[in-house]
Amino acid sequence: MLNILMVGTGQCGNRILDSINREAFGGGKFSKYYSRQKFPSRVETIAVNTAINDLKELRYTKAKDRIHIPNLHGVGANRMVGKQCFNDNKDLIMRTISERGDFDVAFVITSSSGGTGSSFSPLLIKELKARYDFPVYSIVVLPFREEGSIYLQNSAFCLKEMRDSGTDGIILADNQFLKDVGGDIQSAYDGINTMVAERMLFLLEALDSEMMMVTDLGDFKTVMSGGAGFATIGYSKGDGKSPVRSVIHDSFSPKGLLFSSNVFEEGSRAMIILRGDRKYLNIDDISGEIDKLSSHIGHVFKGVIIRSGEAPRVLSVLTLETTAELENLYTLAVEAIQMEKEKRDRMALRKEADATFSKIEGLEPQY
Amino acid sequence: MDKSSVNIGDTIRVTIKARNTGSGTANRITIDPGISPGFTFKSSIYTTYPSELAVSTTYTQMYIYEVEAAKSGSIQLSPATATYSSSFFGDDYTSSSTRPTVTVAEEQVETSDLELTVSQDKTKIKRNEKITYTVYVRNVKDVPASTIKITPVFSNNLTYVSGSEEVDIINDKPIIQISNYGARYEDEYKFTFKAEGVGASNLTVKLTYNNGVEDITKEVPSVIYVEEGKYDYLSEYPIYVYLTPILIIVAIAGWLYWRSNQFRM
Repeated sequence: MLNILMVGTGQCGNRILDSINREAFGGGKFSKYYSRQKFPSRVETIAVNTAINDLKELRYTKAKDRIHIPNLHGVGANRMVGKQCFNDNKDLIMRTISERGDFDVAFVITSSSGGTGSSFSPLLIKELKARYDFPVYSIVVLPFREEGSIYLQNSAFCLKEMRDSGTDGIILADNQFLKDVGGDIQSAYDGINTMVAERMLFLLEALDSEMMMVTDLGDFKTVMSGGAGFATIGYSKGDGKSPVRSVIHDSFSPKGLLFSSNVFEEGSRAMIILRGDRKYLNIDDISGEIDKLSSHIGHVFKGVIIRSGEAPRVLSVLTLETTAELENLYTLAVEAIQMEKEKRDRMALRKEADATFSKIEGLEPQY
Repeated sequence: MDKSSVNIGDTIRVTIKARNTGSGTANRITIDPGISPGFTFKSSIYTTYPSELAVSTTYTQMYIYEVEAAKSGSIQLSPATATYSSSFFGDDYTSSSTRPTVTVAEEQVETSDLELTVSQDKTKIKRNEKITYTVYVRNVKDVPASTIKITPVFSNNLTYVSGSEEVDIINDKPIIQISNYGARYEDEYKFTFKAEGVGASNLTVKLTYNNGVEDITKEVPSVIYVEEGKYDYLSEYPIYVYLTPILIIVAIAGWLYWRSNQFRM
């Protein structure tokens, strides 16, 4: 059994972590009262935040698993403040993690755009890598592009620092790409959180299943070490009527992925896990579809989990060599940084104007 | 006599007849009607009886008078006496009549008479429910009654709850006491009881009063069957039947509270 650490930082990371805990309970509103969490492995979840209200709103994460870093009510999307706050409190965070025992793998879940999550996560990964030898993967949620210039520049710097922190791979989820999930903004956020949670639980099961023809943590490490350090996850659920090859295909098509990518062109390595009743899992269909993918991107790991009576589901983990969408994000981010810089320059000029006025301080008009 | 049963004050007509059963004529006949004590002589109707009476097989009417009954009871009349002399020897003789009995009834005294009626507001009752009896008393005579007592006598499975303002509680029992009940007076009284036990409940309303001559007692009994109450079946089960779900609910509530606290920050 694997020992897995999952840390959610900032509001977005906390909420996704809470969704993972909810899905592990079974997904029902009151499931935490009558059910046990059905993690296949020993999973420790820890939510870290500077905003107490964000921690209080969690419903499925135990209070003992929430770490409040006292800094008034958040860092106000200011990564500088966030970094200082992490450095002031990292002993508390690292002590809490060390008290949870030894781990085989860790996942740090965060938004790239906010204050606490985007500033804490690179530093947290750096600390984890410095103290432990288990792989640390990050799950990073990119913002809606229209959310504002600060969020865009935060995302750009956060992703860069993530890569520099020594993380073993960054799994991307893109709010902009997934925004059609729900009607209103809250439903969209909830839907995205649930999507990420379902995929993570499936992934954990794939890493720790004792059945034959399954993937394991070693395969996952190999997949994640490919490409440019970025990856995404796809998922699809069949209805039992359509062939399994179409379910596999859907899992890495745009409607199944968490991040916009042409995997046939941008993919580097992949891991495909199928789960369902034996009657739905036609080996020829599976091999045919996976061979098609591997002919484009190279090696594809595959795993099969047999579940009697269950419709076929497919999880695909894809590492990316390049990502056009990330290029677009950085282009927007540079524009956002330029815009912020221009605003700051204008403010500096305004301060010069203030200096002009200060020349007559202490003088009185003479008539 | 024209009547053998009369009331005091009634008039009785007495007819005296005589027959000569001897062998010669009776001469110089005189009649003493012999008025009896208990009667008051009113008048002589016929007094012209013959002074001689020949031997005959039939009776001859001799004397008629009327008396008034003055005393009650069974009264044997005093005999009428005939005095006469023989036509052969000239000696005087007397002969007495029979003594018929007259029954004189006692004089009618006007008394009061209280009529007692009892009704109830329910025909069926369940345990712990209440039932109200309405007692209606009416003096049907023109003579007042005195020392009236109305007492409900009830079985153990009924408990007196309340009643009309005339009701007093003496020795934990309800009673209505009224000194006088005027002529033609009527009134009604209420007694409310609570049914405490299942089964037949007897309630007898007892009315006693003095009618001017003597003490009278009247009773109206009634029976009502008390059925099991709405929730009586609950008491039929053993205590664990109730304790078990309560303990389960408490345990679930405790679990929910403990579990909620685990997720509350």
